[in-house]
Amino acid sequence: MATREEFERALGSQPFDVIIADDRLPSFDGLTAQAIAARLRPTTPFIFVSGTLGEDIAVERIKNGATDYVLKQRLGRLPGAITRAIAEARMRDEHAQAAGEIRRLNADLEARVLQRTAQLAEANHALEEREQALRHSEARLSAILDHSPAVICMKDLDGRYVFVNRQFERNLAMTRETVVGLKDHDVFPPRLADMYRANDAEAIRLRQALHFEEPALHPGGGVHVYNSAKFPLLGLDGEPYAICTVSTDITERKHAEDEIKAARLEAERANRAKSEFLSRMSHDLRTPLNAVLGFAQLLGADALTDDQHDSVRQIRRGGEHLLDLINEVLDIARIEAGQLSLSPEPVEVREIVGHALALVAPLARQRQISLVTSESALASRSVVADRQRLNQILLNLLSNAVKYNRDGGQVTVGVEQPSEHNLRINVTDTGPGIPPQKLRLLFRPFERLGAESTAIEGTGLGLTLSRGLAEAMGGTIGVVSRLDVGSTFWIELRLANETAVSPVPSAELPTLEAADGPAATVLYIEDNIANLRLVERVLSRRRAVRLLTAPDGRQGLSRALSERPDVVLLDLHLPDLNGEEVLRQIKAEVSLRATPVIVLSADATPGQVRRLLASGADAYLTKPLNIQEVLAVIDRTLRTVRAASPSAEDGA
Amino acid sequence: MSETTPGARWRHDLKNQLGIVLGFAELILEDQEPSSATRADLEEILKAARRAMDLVDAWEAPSD
Repeated sequence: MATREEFERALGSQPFDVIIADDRLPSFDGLTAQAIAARLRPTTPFIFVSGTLGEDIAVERIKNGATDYVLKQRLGRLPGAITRAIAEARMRDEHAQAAGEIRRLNADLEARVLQRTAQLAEANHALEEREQALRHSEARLSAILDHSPAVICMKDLDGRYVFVNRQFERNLAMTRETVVGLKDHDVFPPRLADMYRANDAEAIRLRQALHFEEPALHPGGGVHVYNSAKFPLLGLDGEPYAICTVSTDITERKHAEDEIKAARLEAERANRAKSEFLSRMSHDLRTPLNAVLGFAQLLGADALTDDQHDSVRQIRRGGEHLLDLINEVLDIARIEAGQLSLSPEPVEVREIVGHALALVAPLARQRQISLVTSESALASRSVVADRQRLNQILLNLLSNAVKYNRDGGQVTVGVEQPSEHNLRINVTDTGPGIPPQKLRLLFRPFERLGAESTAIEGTGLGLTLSRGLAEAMGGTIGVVSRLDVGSTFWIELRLANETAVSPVPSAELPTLEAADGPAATVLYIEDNIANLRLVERVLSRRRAVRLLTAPDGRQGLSRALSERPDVVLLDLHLPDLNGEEVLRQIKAEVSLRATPVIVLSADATPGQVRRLLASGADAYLTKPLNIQEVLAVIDRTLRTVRAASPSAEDGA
Repeated sequence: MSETTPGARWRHDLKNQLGIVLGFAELILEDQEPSSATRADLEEILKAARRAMDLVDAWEAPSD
């Protein structure tokens, strides 16, 4: 190219391996061209070709950056110069590239060093934080261990102490430094150490936390009892490597428990003693009371004035009340001893409520208290109960409802069904109501609310007994009350699936009028003189009956053999043999086997009645004797005897 | 305070009722001929009731 413009355009548009320039050009000179090349392509080799250039100028040009120069007259050097210039340029390029690479690598390295340094610093910081956290947690842990009121220790599997807390040091008066490394047998009495080690071994063996009661000897403090939780520490492999014990001093609690236990035992003993006392007393009182009631019945048949008959009624009421008093005590004693025998059967509610209502009706009438029942509600429902005991409960609830009512008040009997299988009988009065704080005392023995001031007679045992009876029948009893409105006492029993069988009405009883009747001999085996006299007086109303008596079982048996009575009356409590044995021997004796035996006893548990009837007794009469019943049974028995052997009468 | 204990109250109730029995029996007895059957029955009642009273009196109730 010839012009400067062309040269500049060419250099700007593409790279060249080498630039060859004439020093003298028509529109510009070699020096300018060199300057342009140095600006646009500084690394491209630049060779001057000149015919006139002197040695000095050439050196000057090379100093200015030209690569080489070739004289025109020695143009043959040019190819070599070009090749060399290109090679040199290429080398320079490579150098430059290598240097660049080194710089880049250096920079990269530096960056990485910086980054790593930062990372290290960060790691250091984290490490420091973790160490601090660890120190904190360790301090916290030892604060917990040392401030714990529990005695805490850790032993290795050989039983050497690894750690004990401050409470351990305090209670056992040993420092951590002395204990650590020692075993139980080094520091405790052998029997205690044996126990501790055995307990440790058990927890280790089972690999689980176990609780033990462990005694410990406090130097100066005597024997303390600890509740010790022992748990093995397990490694990652699940194998125990140590055993920890956390022990709480329960000495005081143990003492308190022992005291409570002793107090309970004492209360139970006192209660038992009281029950025993009361039932012994009741047993002993029954005999004279039966006599009172028996003779009072005889008096009732005597020719007396109206006033005197009224007095006889008072005597009978007093005697019956006394009998209630002692029977209630005996029943409560039986319930407490779990010896109450019951005969559960379906009982029709309407029938039994009606019966109880009839009994309290006279009492209610005296005070113009109306008795109301919801007939439709009571209709044809039956509950499972012991008929006699349910009657006793209802009578108790009803007579309370009358006694504690206001004059002219009302007693309502209703039923409800609180659940599918239960029926509740409610007895509601219009009395003064019972304060809430007294409600819970109601079913306790001998509580009679305010009865001291109102002179209401009663044993105070009625509700206690009712509750005991209700519970013994699988039922519940309770009360709700509102002051100035009244109270509702209820008993809840299971509904019966079957229908109730109505009780057989008792046979018509004979009057106490004297009658001749058939001639007969009656042997009465009885040790109690009042009872003997009573039966003697009763049988004096049968003029043809001859009464023989025997005061004990053996004499009774021998009199039976010698006299061959038509009927034997047998008491069960005899001084020598018991009545059951006498009955057995009579039934075992061929000549006596057919002789009817009528048992007279104050014990009327259904089990005993069944047993004696099964053993051959013909009848079982309970004391206090109902004189009409005694006469009826004796009359009936004698008739049966006559019917069985009509010839006996002829021989008598 | 012993009078308010259950055992004491029970004894009290018993004695109270026995007193009623004895009182009314004595009341009828006053009007009886010396050797009547009624008198004999009343004497049995009195004897039994007195015996019961003796039993109640004789017992030391355990503390309750």
